[in-house]
Amino acid sequence: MERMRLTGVCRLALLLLFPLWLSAAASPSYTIETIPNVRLADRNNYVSNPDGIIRPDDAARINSLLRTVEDSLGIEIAVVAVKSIGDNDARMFATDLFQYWKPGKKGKDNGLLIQLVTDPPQRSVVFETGYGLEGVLPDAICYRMQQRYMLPDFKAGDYSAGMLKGVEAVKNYLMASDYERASIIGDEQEMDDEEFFEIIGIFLIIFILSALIACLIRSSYMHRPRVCPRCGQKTLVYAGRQVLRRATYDSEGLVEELWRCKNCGYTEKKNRTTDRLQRNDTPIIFGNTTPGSSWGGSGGSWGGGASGGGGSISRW
Amino acid sequence: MKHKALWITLAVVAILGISLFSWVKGTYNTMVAQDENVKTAWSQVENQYQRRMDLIPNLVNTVKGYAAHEKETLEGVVSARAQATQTTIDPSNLNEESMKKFQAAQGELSSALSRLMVVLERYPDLKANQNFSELQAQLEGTENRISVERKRFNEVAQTYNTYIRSFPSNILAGMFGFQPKAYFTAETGAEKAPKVEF
Repeated sequence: MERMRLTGVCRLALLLLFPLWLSAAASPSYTIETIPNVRLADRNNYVSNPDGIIRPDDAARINSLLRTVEDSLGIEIAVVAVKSIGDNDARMFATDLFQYWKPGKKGKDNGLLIQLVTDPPQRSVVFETGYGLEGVLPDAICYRMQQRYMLPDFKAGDYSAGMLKGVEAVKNYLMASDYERASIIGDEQEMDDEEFFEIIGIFLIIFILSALIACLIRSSYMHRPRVCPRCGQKTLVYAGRQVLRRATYDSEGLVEELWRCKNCGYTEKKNRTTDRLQRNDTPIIFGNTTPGSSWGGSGGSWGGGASGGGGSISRW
Repeated sequence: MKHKALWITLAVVAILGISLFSWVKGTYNTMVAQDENVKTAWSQVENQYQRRMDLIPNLVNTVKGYAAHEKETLEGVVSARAQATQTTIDPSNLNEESMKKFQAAQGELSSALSRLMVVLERYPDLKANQNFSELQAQLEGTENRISVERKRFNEVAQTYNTYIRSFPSNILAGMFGFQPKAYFTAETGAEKAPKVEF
C-alpha cells in the first residue's frame, strides 16, 4: 500500500516535470561550449549527437569508418549533428567549434569537422577543414560531396542516412587520395604522453646502467690483486666476504673480507664498512613510467589541429 | 681601505650593467619575435586575399558564357581586382594609413563581387552549372578564410601593441623604433562576405 502511494507520488511528479523536461529538451540552442565533446570520454566516439539525429546503428558505422580513417591516415574527423545553434552563423560556428575542439594532429592540422544543423534558420551542413587538409580536400570537393551524397537525403528529411553517406564519401575520397600514409611518415599518435615516458624510461635505463658499471668498476678496483706481505708477489686476491653487520638506513654495515695469496697461501682478513642504505625513490619512478599508456585508456581527445577556415557549406 | 670602496663600486656597476643588459636583451628580443609574428599573420591575410583574387579570372570566364549581358558588372569586378592587386602593404609598414588603403581596395572588390552575385541570381542556367557552383563554394570558403586570418592578425597585432606600449618596454620600443601596428576594422557592409543564398 505504502509502495503504491509512493509510486503514485512519483508518477505525479514525473507528470508535472515532464512538460518542463520536454520543453527544455525540445530544441536547446547549442553554443560551442555546450555541444558535448564526446571524444573526451571515449576515443572511439567521433560523433556528437546530443539530439539523437543520427540513428545509433548509423552512428556506430560512422564511428568505425572514422576509426579506419584515423588508423590509416592519422586524419581526425569530428561529426556533430544538432538541431539548433540559435542565431549564430553556421559557417562561423563551425570555424569556432573547430578551434575549440582542435581535431587533427598538432602540427599536421589534419582535422575535419562535419557539422549538421537541422533547424531552419541555420539549416546547413558544413565541412570545416584543417590547414593540413586544404590540399587534399579543397572547398570545391567538399561542396561536391555535400551536394552529391548528403543533400538528397537531407532534402528528404533523412538526416541520419545523409550523414552516413557523406562520411562514407569522405572516407572513400581520403583513402583513395594521395594523402601520405601515416605509416610512411611515422604515426605520431600518442606522441604526447607515451613518447615522453619512453624518453624518461630510456634515460632511466642509461642512468641505471651507468650506475651499475660504476659499481662494477669500483668493486673491481677495490678488489684488485694486492702485494702479498709474505712473499712480495702481487698475488693477494679477494676470496670472499662475510657480513658481520648489515647496513641499515641509519648505520653503516660491516663486512669481513677474506684475501688469499695465490702464490704462498697467505690469508688475510680485512674489515670494511659498507655504506648506509639510501632511501631510494627509483622503484616509484619506475612505477610511474610503465603505465604511461594509462592515459590512452578509454578517454581521448582531439590532437590539437588548427583550421584556417577552409571548407564549404551547403544549405537547402 | 680605499681599494675596498673602489671594488664595491665596481661590483655594483657591473651587476647593474649586467642586469640592464639582460633586461634590454630580453625586451628587445621579445619585441622582435612579436614583430615577426605580426608579419607572419599578415602574410597569411595576404595569402587569402590573393587566393580570392586568383579565383576571379576563372569566375569571370565562367560567368561570361552565361551572362554576357552583365558586362558592366563583370568589368566592375575586373577593375576592382586590378586595383586590389596593386594595393599591397609592406609588412614592416603596417600603419593606419596603409591599412586603410588596403582595406578600401579589398572592400571595393568585395562589393563588386557581391553585386555580381546578386545579378547572377537571374540566370538559372548558370546556377545549375556545376563549375560555377563549385567556384562559388571556393569563393565562399576563401571569404571565410579571410575573416579567420584577419581575426588572427588582429589578435597577434594586439599582443604586439600591448607589449610595446606598456611600461617599461615602451621606452625601448621608442628607442629602437618599434611602431604600433594597425588593426583590421569591421567595415559596414563592404567587407562582408558576398552572401548569396540559392
